[in-house]
Amino acid sequence: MNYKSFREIAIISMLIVSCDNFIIERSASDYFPMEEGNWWFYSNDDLYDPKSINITVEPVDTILERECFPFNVSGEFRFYSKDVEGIKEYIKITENYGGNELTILQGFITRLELPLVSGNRFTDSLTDSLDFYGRWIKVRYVIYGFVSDYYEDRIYGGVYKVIINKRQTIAVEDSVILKEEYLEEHYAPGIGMIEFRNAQGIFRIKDFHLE
Amino acid sequence: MIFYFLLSLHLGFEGGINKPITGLDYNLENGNIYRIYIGKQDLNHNVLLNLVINGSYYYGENPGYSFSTYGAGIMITKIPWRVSPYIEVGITYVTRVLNKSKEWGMSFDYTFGFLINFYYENINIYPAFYYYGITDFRVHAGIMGMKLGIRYEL
Repeated sequence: MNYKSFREIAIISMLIVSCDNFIIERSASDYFPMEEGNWWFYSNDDLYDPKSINITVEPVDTILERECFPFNVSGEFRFYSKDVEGIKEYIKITENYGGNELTILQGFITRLELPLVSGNRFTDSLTDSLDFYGRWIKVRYVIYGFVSDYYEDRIYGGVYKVIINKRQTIAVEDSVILKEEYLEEHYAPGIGMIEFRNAQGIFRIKDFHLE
Repeated sequence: MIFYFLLSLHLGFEGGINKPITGLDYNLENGNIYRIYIGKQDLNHNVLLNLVINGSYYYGENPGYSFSTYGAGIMITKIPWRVSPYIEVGITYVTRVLNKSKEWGMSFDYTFGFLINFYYENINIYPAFYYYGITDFRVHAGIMGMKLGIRYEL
């Protein structure tokens, strides 16, 4: 091999190696594909307590004059819509009074700010105060998000890890009820969530279908 | 010798707008480009050989998001036709920023398009229309653009 050939190979190798953090893949990929008919199947790896979760995207619905996709999460429905700032989730908090479930807070809240960029922190909240049959109630729902990491998965490509903290507070005159949930979610380009961790454990994707 | 070499050089500036059409159109709206080049005529092949330094800035659909490129490349333009095709290849440093968080990486890019040449003494003014491709060898994104350039023969 002469010097010129060696130099050409070295230049091409340097060019390919310099592209190995796949910045275009990260910039151009959809990390949250929302299309009717998409589904993802997850299960945990616990041999003694196996669990599985199936998520299916149902036909478009309209809530609060906003088009959104119902996500059927093993029978429980969650509603998501996409706008320029990211994925919004519909939140509805109800309170029981005299056997009736009455809505005390509802609205769309930023669930995931897009596009995903490592280190980005986002937060969004819904707040309302109301006179609930003579009791003054203050309701607040907050989501804190942090895109904590980016790593290369040998099957799914460049994956982002997102940490989500959901905090729901219902304050009445003499007490405060706080519910808090931590989630860790991993998103792959063109596929969506491939792994998540919640209070029930770690769930990994086993199969999926995208329209 | 150096004097004659400098005499045959030309300088150019270009500016224009880009519109992502594949891949990046998911997150980005329009972008602005700016370019500067220095080059030389190759009369054996009737082409201009240019060394280009370029930059671009794209506005995200999310107001907190932006995407920028800074690159260097080689542009070859056919002369002396009125409508002349051109190609360009180069490497690009890419940054993407959301709020205060930033990511960067390297990519390979290529362009092909055509210029419409208008000449006045040593000055060549041209609008150009082109397709600009950028890739990290895993995913490809495509951008359509138009620019206005001015080239001065030393």
